[in-house]
Amino acid sequence: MKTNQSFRLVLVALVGLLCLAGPAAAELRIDITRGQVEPLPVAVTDFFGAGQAEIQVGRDVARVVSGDLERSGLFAPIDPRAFIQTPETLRVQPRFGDWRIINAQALVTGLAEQQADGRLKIEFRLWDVYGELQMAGLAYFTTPDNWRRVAHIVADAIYKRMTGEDGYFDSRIVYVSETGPQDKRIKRLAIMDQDGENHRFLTDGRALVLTPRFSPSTQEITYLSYFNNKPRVYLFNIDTGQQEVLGEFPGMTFAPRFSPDGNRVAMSMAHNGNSEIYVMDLRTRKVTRLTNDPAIDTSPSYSPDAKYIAFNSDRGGSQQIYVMNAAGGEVKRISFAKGRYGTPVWSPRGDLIAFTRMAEGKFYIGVMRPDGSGERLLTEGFLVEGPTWAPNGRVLSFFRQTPGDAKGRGATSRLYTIDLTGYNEREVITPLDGSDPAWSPLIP
Amino acid sequence: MTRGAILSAILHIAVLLLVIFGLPFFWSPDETLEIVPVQIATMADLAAAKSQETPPKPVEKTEPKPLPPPAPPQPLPQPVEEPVPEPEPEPVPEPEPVPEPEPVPVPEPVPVPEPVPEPAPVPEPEPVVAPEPVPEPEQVAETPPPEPKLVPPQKPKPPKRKKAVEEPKPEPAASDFTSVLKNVEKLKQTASAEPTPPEPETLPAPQPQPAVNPADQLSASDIDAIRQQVAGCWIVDVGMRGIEEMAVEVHVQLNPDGSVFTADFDRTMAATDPNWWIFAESALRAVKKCSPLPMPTTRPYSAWQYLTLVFNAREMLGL
Repeated sequence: MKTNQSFRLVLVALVGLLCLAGPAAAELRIDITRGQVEPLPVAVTDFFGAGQAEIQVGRDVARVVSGDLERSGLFAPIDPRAFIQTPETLRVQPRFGDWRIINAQALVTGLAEQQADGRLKIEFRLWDVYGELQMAGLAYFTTPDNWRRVAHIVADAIYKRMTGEDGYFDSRIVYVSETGPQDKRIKRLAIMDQDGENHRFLTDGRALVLTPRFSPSTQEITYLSYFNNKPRVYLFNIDTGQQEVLGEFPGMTFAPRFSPDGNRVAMSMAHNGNSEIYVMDLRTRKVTRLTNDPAIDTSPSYSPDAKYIAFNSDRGGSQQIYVMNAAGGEVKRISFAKGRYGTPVWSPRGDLIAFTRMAEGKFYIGVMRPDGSGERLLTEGFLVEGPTWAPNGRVLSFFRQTPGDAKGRGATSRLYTIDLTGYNEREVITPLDGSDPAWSPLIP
Repeated sequence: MTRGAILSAILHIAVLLLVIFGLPFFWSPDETLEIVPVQIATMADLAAAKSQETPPKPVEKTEPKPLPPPAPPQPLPQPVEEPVPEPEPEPVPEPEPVPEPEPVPVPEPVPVPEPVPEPAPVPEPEPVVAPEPVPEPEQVAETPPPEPKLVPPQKPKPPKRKKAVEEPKPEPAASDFTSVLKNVEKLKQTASAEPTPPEPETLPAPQPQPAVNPADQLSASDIDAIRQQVAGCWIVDVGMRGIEEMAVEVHVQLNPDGSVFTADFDRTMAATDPNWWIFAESALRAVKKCSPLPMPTTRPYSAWQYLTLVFNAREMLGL
């Protein structure tokens, strides 16, 4: 009887101990609050090809994909000379150990194959080297001469899978190509792929052109042109080459920009010494006035949800950025630091407004949140202007002028891109000088 | 009776032994838990005046919701039976006065199934065009033993120094961004004010440990070594939308030599933001790349066999 009791006691004690042990065996927890800001090492292998032509295409596609990823600043393609595994054996299965040795965190493999019907098949796979998994895999069929475009599409797919954001490599940039002495500058509209390839001129340079803007939905550009010395806003269709004046206004119109759906163009009109912002519906050609203030109101830019318009105005004494409702009204100033602010451009992802700021004899390209907070200046120079967002709202393009001598000789104007973190500033190589870049949406 | 007495004696002894040897072990993780935050504060103080104390759990839990597909969101088009999909590259009808043909219509993507690992080097392995996706064949091939550790312990790299714009004029910038997001203005300030805060790599003098079972616990420097190494392996895209809000727990099971046996992120924490999956993957990659972790082999394996790493980039963003 007594034993039984002590036995019970022991049991109770044991159970109690077990209860204590349960929660106490919790895991060790460590907070990781810092990491590295550096590009992700990625191995882009030549896409496998069986025949001579296919081998060449496979190599070219890999080169374009690798170039796109590298320029984004988020990826560091590994020198192919370090690769251990060959494209032939990669067709079967990657030997992930071979890729970990050279520090690759992601691996891109692919295939270029001529089809019986004359089409070209380009296929890629993205591998997680440490997880030893395929992360993405797609195939495209196209005409053989369209390989470059497919390469950009492949790069976009990889970018999206790795960063979560849509890519921007399958896009173009229209800009003003400049040549000749400063007093007799020839300015032509030109267009190229975002990496500078496939460059061509759109206008012949007889009329001065300024501030081209891409339609977010169609292959159309709106811009300012001086025809017969009269500055007007024009519409240009890239596919057809057709050009038309946008409306007959009593005064000069300038600073046009499309609405997010591409159906409207907001612009400024100067009349009797006063500039106001107007919007024109491209379908009905109906024009509505949005601002009414004796100050200069210009550079309208829609928010991606089309609810608001950012613009700049000197109504407060100096030129600053304001936001109003898209139908006009409820004007709110959002920039307050010293200097002047201009050309606000709303990011396609909505979280930032890019702008130009002029202070103490210098120009800056910066970003701020739509409520004016978090202002950050990304780059500076003698003259940096014309920010334009890549379609994913991650990268900006702008142009940078450097001064020449007293007569303006040696001055240059070049296009650049920069990541919104302020890093990875790069020149976009153009045949001549360039200014006023405008990034297209992703090519439909 | 004797049997009962013997049984009773044995059990008593067992309890006694448990009390003497077992309890400290059971208790140790708890003690560790207490130490961690204390140590963070010390490190942070040493590291940089600006860094604030890391909240113990800055993880904001979203209520459990139907999980998105475990695979990160990818709009893979549905498997197409045949390579018939795209609006064929018809010659583009273009009455254009401008030169140059237009790009051909976008070729439709066709999902590519996983290749079947084929041991024989068949010259024509056509698994690629197989209509239906082969469901992840290589996972089956995976063997339970841990991976051969190909990666030597990484030396944590110091974070990239920003290039300072030498411009002595400090301007009052009303911004809260730190080094990972460049601000020309901000740089001017920091350039004139003080150099980049030094890395907390130089370990401080060992902290006085609480007296209880010091042998079993991971010391502050043990934990800091792990933290340093993982931080060196983690590549963070600070420009990612919503990065300020993101946090993920990675649950790790370690081998006795410190190499990673299993690691996976806690899917119950998935935020509504699809970028969360990308963020979680980057953390998981960091853990795998960092294997083996510098675990203190002098401490009992059971004290660190299970490890939870909580990733967030708040300190980098100056939050």
